[in-house]
Amino acid sequence: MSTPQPILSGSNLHKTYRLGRAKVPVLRGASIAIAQGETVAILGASGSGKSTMLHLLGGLDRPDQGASSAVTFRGRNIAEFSESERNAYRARDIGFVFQFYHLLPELNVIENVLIAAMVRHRHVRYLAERRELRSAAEHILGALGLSSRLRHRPVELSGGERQRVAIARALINRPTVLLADEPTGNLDRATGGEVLDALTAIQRERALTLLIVTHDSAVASRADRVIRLRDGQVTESTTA
Amino acid sequence: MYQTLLSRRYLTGKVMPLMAALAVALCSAMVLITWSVMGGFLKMMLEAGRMQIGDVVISWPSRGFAHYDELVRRLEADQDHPTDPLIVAASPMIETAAMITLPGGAIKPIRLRGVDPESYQRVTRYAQTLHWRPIEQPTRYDRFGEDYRLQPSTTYPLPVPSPAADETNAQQVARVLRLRNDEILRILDRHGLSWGLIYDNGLSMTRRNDDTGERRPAIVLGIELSRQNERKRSFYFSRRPFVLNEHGNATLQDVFLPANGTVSVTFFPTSEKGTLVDSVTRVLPVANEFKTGIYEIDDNTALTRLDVVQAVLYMNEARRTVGGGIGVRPDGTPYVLPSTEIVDPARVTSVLVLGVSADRLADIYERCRAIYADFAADHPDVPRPEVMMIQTWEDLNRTFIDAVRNEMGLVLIVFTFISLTAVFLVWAIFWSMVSEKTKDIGILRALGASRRGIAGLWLSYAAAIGLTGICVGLLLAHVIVWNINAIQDTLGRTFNIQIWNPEVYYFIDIPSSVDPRSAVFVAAGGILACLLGALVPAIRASRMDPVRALRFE
Ligand SMILES: Nc1ncnc2c1ncn2[C@@H]1O[C@H](COP(=O)(O)OP(=O)(O)O)[C@@H](O)[C@H]1O
Ligand SMILES: [Mg+2]
Repeated sequence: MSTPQPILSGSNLHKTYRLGRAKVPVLRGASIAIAQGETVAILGASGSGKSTMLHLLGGLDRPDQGASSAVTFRGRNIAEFSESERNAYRARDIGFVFQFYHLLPELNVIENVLIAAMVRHRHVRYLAERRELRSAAEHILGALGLSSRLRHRPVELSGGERQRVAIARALINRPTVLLADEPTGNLDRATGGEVLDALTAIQRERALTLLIVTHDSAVASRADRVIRLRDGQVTESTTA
Repeated sequence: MYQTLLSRRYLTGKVMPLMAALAVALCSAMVLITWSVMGGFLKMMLEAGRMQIGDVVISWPSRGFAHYDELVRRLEADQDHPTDPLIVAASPMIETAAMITLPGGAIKPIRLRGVDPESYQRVTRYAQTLHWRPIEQPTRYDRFGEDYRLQPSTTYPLPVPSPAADETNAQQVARVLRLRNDEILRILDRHGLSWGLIYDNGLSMTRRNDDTGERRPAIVLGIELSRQNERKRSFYFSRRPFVLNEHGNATLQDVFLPANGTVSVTFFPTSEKGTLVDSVTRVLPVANEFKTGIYEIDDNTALTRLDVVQAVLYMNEARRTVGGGIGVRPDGTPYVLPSTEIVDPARVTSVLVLGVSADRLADIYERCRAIYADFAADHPDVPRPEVMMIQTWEDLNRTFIDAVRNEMGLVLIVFTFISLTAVFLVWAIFWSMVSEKTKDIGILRALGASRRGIAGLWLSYAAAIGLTGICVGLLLAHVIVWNINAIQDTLGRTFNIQIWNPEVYYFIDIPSSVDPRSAVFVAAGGILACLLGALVPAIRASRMDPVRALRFE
């Protein structure tokens, strides 16, 4: 660990799902700490709880009660956040990128990006900053090579393009941490490489903290650090 | 903000929400149309009722009461009331049952009103109801300018009725019976009349005798009474009366009632005890015809001059001698007994009173009572104030008005219940849309949307559907209500369906205006119904676990 004070950390994370009467423990005391500006890759078999961990870190889900699990952002335990602080945390501090893009099918490309800004800002604020936000969105989409597709619907785009739109959406609110869940998992190698290149470029430019879930070792090789999840625990942490 | 954008996109991108909007549109249109027509109906009833008799009627039926002139004077003196004048005008009237014999021989019972034309007009605005008068512009629906009353200069070239190939027997008869415009003008010409003169005849309730040149009291009939007037939406054709000869063949007569028609009216004067004295029949020329718009009145009411009715019913001023004759003294010598001449003053059955405003009906009523009490105190020979019938037009039509009001309330309640189906429809559609859009909800939550924001999304979506539906519904209702008479015409012509039978509904035209307040109320109700229907699905959406929603396939 390069910095003494990590920007985002999860310590002793426990998560158990219930399927009827059966309890499925997915995370059993996994810990992770990420420093500002760092790129960390999480590797693990399918079903090992990678997504679950990302959801916990991103405040989308809560760890098991009772266990002394804690997700800490800038030194604050997010379990202590109020509901609106938690929403603001997701909107402002965290950006999510998912394996299946998760774009809104009714909106075109630019709207899919701007919707994140709309969610973050209140009505009046959004309207006041509409121009700036719009040009920011156009800028990011331009950087991702999508300038000519602003008015297209997601269905009219290829997988790689969709994922780039999703990345632009995750970045529009200038988050501190980007949580990417197998962002290339659904793309062929070449396209995946392009998406990854774009992501890395932006990460450098913005000094973004990047946490990528993957089971692609090529992806992992780009990271500053690689973490492995097995049996609900972080088994290995290697520095590249 | 995202709520607005998404609800707009959800609305235009799917068929289901448009169905929901359509349901809202139809329900709101249905409720508003019913409300408008029935509300308009009630309003017309009230206005027409007031136009018939003014605000208050002071009456003593059958026998009538005396000194009415003075009562009228006292009532009208209220205009000079120092602080709060309430009464505008008063007019004496005799209302009696009579039989009328029409040209062609039909006999009908009628309600005859003997009125003083000048003051009657001030109380009831009777002049407005006179039908035969010059008009400058063709009335609504009179596309070919067929209305007789149009001045010749404004009359369109008349389509000469020609037998149509598919004419039914009844239509043929109607065409032959109907007086044509040129025939009407010829009849008017023959009697030195014009529409203006006929109108004046109606005002004065007199008609000039062609032979002697003198003016005679005349009668004014309700427009539907004679069955001689064939109604075309907003004007009338006049039909020739015909008589059947002994072979059963019809002989057509060149009679247009206000020009050369006469009717005989049979009166039934009663004695002081109320028994029939003897019937009296008078032949009266027709001066004009009136149309109040209330079928019941137009079908059975006729007006004539007060003095005519007073004379035949023995209610005019009468002088009689009491005493007199020859007496015999105890000593056997005859002598002339002293006699006195008594004047029985003229009587009427009612005095109609018009007040300043319909809104002050209660005050006007009280003022009439007070004035009558003063009047009765000075005249021992009139009915006592306690027993005198003093009624407002609302009292007189109470049962009827209440019936219409209740009926309207009932229909509205029924339709509102039917409209609840719209609530359930919205509910069902939203439930399935929320399920379908589960992933979107997860995405929005991941982007930081709050639970409340998600609920707001669905509610604003519901509001958008409601608003769309309401706009369409209000538009639809307005278009239908505004054209309801034309629609009824078309239905009648094409399918032979008559929805609005004036004999049942009193009014000849279906009320065709929308009360803006009802429209606002219906709009608010429609949007509320949508929000109500969307409430549970919206709460469900807001309670969704975002992680599960994201994993949803
Ligand atoms: N809502 C849930 N209910 C029950 N089991 C779940 C639920 N979500 C995830 N799981 C299970 O948890 C395990 C870990 O899932 P996940 O975090 O998605 O793994 P990964 O992303 O590493 O493939 C899987 O076995 C999955 O079936
Ligand atoms: Mg996963």
